[in-house]
Amino acid sequence: MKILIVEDEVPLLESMEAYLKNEHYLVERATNYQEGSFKIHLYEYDCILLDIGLPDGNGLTLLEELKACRQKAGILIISAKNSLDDKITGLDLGADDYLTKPFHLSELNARLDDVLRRKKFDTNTAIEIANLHIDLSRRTAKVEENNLNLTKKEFDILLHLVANKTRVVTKTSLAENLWGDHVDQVDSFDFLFAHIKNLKKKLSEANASIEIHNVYGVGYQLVEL
Amino acid sequence: MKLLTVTTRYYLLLFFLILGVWSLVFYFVLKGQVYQNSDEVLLNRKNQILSIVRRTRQIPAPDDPYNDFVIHPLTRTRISSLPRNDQYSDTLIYEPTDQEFDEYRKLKTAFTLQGQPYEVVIFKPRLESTEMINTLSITLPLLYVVLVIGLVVTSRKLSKSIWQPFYTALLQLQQFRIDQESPLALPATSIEEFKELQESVTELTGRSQEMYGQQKQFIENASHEIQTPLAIIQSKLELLLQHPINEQQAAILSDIGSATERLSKLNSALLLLSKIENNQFTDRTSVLLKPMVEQILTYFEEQAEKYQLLVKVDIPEDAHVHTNPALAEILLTNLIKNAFVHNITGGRVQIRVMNRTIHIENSGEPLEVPAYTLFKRFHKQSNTKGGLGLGLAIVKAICQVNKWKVQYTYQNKSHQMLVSY
Repeated sequence: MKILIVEDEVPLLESMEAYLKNEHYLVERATNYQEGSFKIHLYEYDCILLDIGLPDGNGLTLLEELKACRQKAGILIISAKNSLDDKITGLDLGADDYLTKPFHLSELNARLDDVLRRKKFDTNTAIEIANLHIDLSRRTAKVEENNLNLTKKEFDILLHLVANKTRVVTKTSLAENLWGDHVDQVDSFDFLFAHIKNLKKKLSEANASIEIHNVYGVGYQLVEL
Repeated sequence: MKLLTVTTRYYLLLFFLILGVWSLVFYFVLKGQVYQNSDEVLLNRKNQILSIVRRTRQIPAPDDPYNDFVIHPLTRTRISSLPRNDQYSDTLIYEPTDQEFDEYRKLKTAFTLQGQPYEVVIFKPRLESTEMINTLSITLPLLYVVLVIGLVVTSRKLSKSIWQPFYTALLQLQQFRIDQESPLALPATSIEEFKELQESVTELTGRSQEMYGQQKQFIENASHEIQTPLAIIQSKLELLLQHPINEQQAAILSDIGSATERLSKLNSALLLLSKIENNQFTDRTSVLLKPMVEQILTYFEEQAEKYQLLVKVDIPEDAHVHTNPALAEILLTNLIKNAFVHNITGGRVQIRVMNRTIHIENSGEPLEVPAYTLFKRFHKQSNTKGGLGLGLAIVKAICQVNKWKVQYTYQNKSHQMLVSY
């Protein structure tokens, strides 16, 4: 999979690059509008991560250009502006998702996964990992033929961990994924812990060949046995 | 008390004093004039009588009723000891016709005729003091009354016409809001003081608006600029976590992570606040309250379970507000979140909508801070709950842009938030 990151903040771009390369994506970069525009016209990508606030032009214009040259790439907008207008305009112009800075790399990865999946396999919305089968449209998870009977939140946690498998996903990233800004940190970590405990129990009871590891209280990690 | 009433009062007091002093002065001056006049008449009469007596060498009969004087010889007085000066004095004379004493001025003087000393006393009626006092005590109070009426009427008129620019400016100042777009529009006036007042007020408010605008813009820009470094820190932390680390390092990274997260939430809350205040949420539509509240409540299921909270919702199906949906959600989320977070184990949360008012009520310990500080930025109940101290400030800002009213009360051990829309 070929990904283009258009982002003018080089340290941030390098973080994204490093994280995504580890996921075995082929990552290319553009640090300004010119470069981005040039690469869009020249090459084909599976997905483009697009920062709207570029020093030499608006990312939204780039989005229009992209549409004009009929690229099939999925588009994930990254913006420092948490502004609804930009979000709506971006999605109207054909972007697939919208992420606000600051974001968790694991979240970016999960969203990217989602965008790519939607672009490539419109009909087949399932994920297979080890002996685990996840049906995205029906939101169910099975180990072999045993349904795990996950709650909504357990399913969301599992999905997030699966998207970032073998990586350490921070508690904050997971909590944010579940509750957004709704609950305060102290309590939500407790709740998260409870959900993960249940999820672990369900996985082990079904003899899943994956396991969720607790990484020193910082985060969680999904590993294949 | 109104300025004009105060000045009028002072003027009236001043008039009263002036008229009082004036009446005394007037009385004495008048009296002096009257005396001077009668004394002059008496002197002339004396000279006339003496010249007649000297010419005729005869003393007129002492009891002549046609005379206004009496002459009688001084028997036991020696010529050398005769008084040289004329003696003027007041006297009362009984007037049998109208049966009263009238005021007269008399001149007593002495002269000699053929070696015989005589005394002559001349009487002249004089303008009476009581008459003068009577006149004064009628005319001066009348003048005072006329002045009072004149002054009051004029000041009333003045306050309506001349003071108009002042009252207009005052009204505009009362209605002035620092975040309004337009400058003050004050009517033109020809009065120097009001002109200066208007200029000062316009300049002051204009400068405040400008400063406020800059400040708002600054907060927004600053928050915006902070996002990118925060994103970098957060991403680098996450990358670092992917490397093999020991427990101690993990604890440090976890702390850095939480602090970064907190900073980032604080920052986006500030950004949100300034965006609300900058009126950047303009799209309005009809928002149904019930589904929105129910959706928000799902985020607090764990909280309700953990603290065994009884959650009651009583919202009519058609209850709706006309506003920006994002703002409505933020407002409800913040209020509902508080109702859950500041609760007690086994407590309750009640959300009702009636009479165009959203009631959000929850059991809880009384506030530790004065209620009026609740809606201020960074005034929080306690540090243990992990809140940012911006939730209610955001609620207030949302209410302000929507012209809604938000109220807090504590009754029967429960906190109540009322939003009237």
